[in-house]
Formats: sequence, C-alpha cells, structure tokens
Amino acid sequence: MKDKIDQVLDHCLAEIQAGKMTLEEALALYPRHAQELQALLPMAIQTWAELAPDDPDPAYLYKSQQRILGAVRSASRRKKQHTPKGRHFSLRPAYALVIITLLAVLFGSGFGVYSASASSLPGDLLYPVKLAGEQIQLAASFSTEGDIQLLLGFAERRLGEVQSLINAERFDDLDQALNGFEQEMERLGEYLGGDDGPAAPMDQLQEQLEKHIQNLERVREQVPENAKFSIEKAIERSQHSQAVLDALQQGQSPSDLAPGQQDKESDKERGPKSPNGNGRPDDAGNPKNQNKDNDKD
Amino acid sequence: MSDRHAEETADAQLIARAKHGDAQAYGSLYQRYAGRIYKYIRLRVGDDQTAQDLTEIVFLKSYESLSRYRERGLRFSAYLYQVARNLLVDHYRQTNETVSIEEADPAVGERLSMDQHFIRQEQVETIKLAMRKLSEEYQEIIRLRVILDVSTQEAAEWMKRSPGAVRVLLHRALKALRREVERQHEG
Repeated sequence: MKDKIDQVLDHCLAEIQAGKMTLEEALALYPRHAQELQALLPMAIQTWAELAPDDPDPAYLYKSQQRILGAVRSASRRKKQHTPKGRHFSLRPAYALVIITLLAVLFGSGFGVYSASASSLPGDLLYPVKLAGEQIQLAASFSTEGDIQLLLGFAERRLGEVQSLINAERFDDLDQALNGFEQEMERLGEYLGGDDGPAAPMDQLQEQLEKHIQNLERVREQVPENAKFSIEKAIERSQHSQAVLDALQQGQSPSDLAPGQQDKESDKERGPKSPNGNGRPDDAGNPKNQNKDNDKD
Repeated sequence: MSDRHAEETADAQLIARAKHGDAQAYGSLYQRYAGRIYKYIRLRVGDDQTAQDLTEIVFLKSYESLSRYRERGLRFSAYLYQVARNLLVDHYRQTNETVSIEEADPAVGERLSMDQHFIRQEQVETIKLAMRKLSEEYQEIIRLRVILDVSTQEAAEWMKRSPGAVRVLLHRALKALRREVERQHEG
C-alpha cells in the first residue's frame, strides 16, 4: 500500500494517463491524501491534455527514416571501401554520413538548415553541414584546377574561422578549425604531388600559402600558450605545402617530400623516436626548414 | 521476462546489429523512438519544421557515435534523450530561440462554445506563464512525467536520478506550479 504523497501522486497520475483510473477514483482510493491530490491532479491532467504536442506527421517519419537508412548504408559501404591513392581522397564514414545528411536536408525538408550553416564555426551545431557543403562543391568540380582553387578557398575559410574563434575567445574549438586547415593542406599536397601534376598557376598558390602562414603567425601571437602548439603544427603543414610547390617549380618530384615519407626517412636517421620526444616529425624532416637551418649555419 | 527487460534485450540486439552496419536494425530503433524524441524536441522549439530537422539530426548523430554507446544499464532512449538535450543547447545558442511549446499554439481539441473556448484558453495561458516561472529542473520533470507521459522509471534514467527522487521532484514541481498558477490568478 502506497502511503507517501509523492508515491501516491505519481501512481495516480500514471494510472489516469493510462486510462485505468479516474480522478474521482483516485480521491476515493487515497482519502488521506485527497485534499493534496485534488489540488494537484486536475492541474496536472489539464497540463497534459493541453500542452502535449501532436504526434509527428507519419509522412515525415517515413521520409526521415528512409534518409537515415540511406545514410547508414552509405556510411557502412564507405567503411568497407578500399582507400584509393592519388587524386581522389577517401571520405571518412562520419563525413559521408554528414554529406548524406546535407543532401537529405537540401532535397528533403530544411533548406534553411543548410543556408544557416554558412556562418557556423567549429563546435557549432551546423558546422558539420557547412563542411558537408564543401565536400559537395568539391565532388561537383571536374577539374584539378577547380579542386585546387576550392581547397585553397576552404583553407582560407578555416583560417577565417580560427580568427573568429579567437575573437569570440572560444579557444577550446581552435583545434578543430586548425585540424581542418591541416586537412585542406594535406589534400592540397596530394593534388600537387599527383601524377597529373599541378594545374593552377604556381605563383598564385605560393602567394596564397604565404598569406596563410602570415595569418597563422599573427594568430599565434594572440592565443594562449596551450593553443600555440596546434597553430605551430598548422604552420609546419603550410610550410610543407610550400616545399612541395618549390620542388615542382624546380622540376623535381614532390614525392620525396610527402609527410609520411619524411617521417620514415627521419626515423631511419634518428631511430624510433623523434628527438623532440613527442613522436611528431620535427623540423629536421622538412626541406623548407632544412634550408632555414643551413642558412643559420 | 518484464517488459522493460524484453525492451532492453531487443534494443541491445538491434544496437549490436546497427554497429555492424545493419541499416534495418537502426531503422527499427528509429521506429521505436523517433516519435518520443520528436515530441520532446517539439515541446522545446517553436515549430514543427525545426523539430523535424532536429529529430533527424539526433538520430544521425546518435548513429555516428553508436560505437561509443555502451548499455551499462542505461536505456537507448536515455542515450537519445541526452543527444537531443545537447542538440537543443546548441540550437538555442545558435538561434537565440526562446520560443517553446508554452508559446506555441495549443493542440486542437474538441469543438467548444466561444465562452468555453475563452475560459479554457485563459487557463492554458495561465499554466504556460506559470511553467515559465519554474526552475529548469521543475519544468523538465513536468515536461517528461506530465506532458509527455514518460514513465517514472524511464524519466529517472533520462534525468540520471533514482525513481524515488523523480517522484519527490514531481510532487515539488506540481506544488510549485500550483503556487504560480494561484499567483497568476491573484495578479
């Protein structure tokens, strides 16, 4: 037998909502608490009856389920796919999922979600939608020149986001923007190092990369100590892209400059651990920095 | 086997299959929970379209992080609820939206006379205003236990409390609502 008021109230509410009891029956069943129940239950029942939202539209549920099933299948397929080398880069399953989400939003119900994502920053709800939009732009480009221009634009955008995050003092989200920037640079390196070679004007690329580095160096001065490491990593990555471009301009093969290759070569020379002890390639692996070191000597 | 145990076993099997890329299994989970998650979100945002978009994102995000989901005695619905709550926080931050069901149109009920309609409308408005005066914790328990008719056990898991604590919270929240309603009448 329930005797505490909170138990009685909870029990009566559940029974009434389930249609197994009326208010009158509840009051009769618990006369000791009748006054309290009389004060609370009618108001609770009215709140339930008046404010409960309608069930979702079945047509929406069906369409939404189909979109989600499509996204799950696509993510699953991508997981199993072999990663091709060269001009095409693979999308992570989570990324693919986001792309499908965007397509679903674009061709489904909420174009507003997509357009609202344009000004989003890392850490924002709509940021994945913005990234997915970029992937679609890239997929829709049919030339290497177009791809390179887009990637440079995306890299610039990531740097703009870095600046906006700094302005908003959202230092915790900086890593995501900088990782994004590094990814754009990495992809750019794949394009420039591909068999079909660079197709965009070299000078323009160099100029934009130089601008990126200057921006990053400026940003480095504005962030707290713990965020500096990420920015320095991004600067290194940009310098590597510059080195790839230098090599190409001099008619050399850029394959020796691939970041993975550098690590292997450096590891052979210095043993299993990097001298800086953090497992990351240090400046010695970067031809651009090697030149700097030589200059110092 | 209790209903709850049967439900959790079925969920666990579907989740295990979904983690291995079985789309139909995840589709079954969607069918089970989409309605409830939609209604919870709809209660917190101003329009159907936003609620639909956010509900879909909840399920996509939940799938993305499904590999990290461990039952640990927590229902799948509680996991979806947490994703939905986080998403709503982001949504409010993005849009500065403060509109909720308390400002949205009430459900269309049976036909009423003009007088009855006004009286009822006034009562509903009073409850909406009173709701807004309550603490977030009280509002949440009223949303879950009263408006959405979520069971005590499930509400407890969603809110990471014991069922006993949820019953006490509900009692206090309804008393607070009652006081606010009376204040509205006096004012």
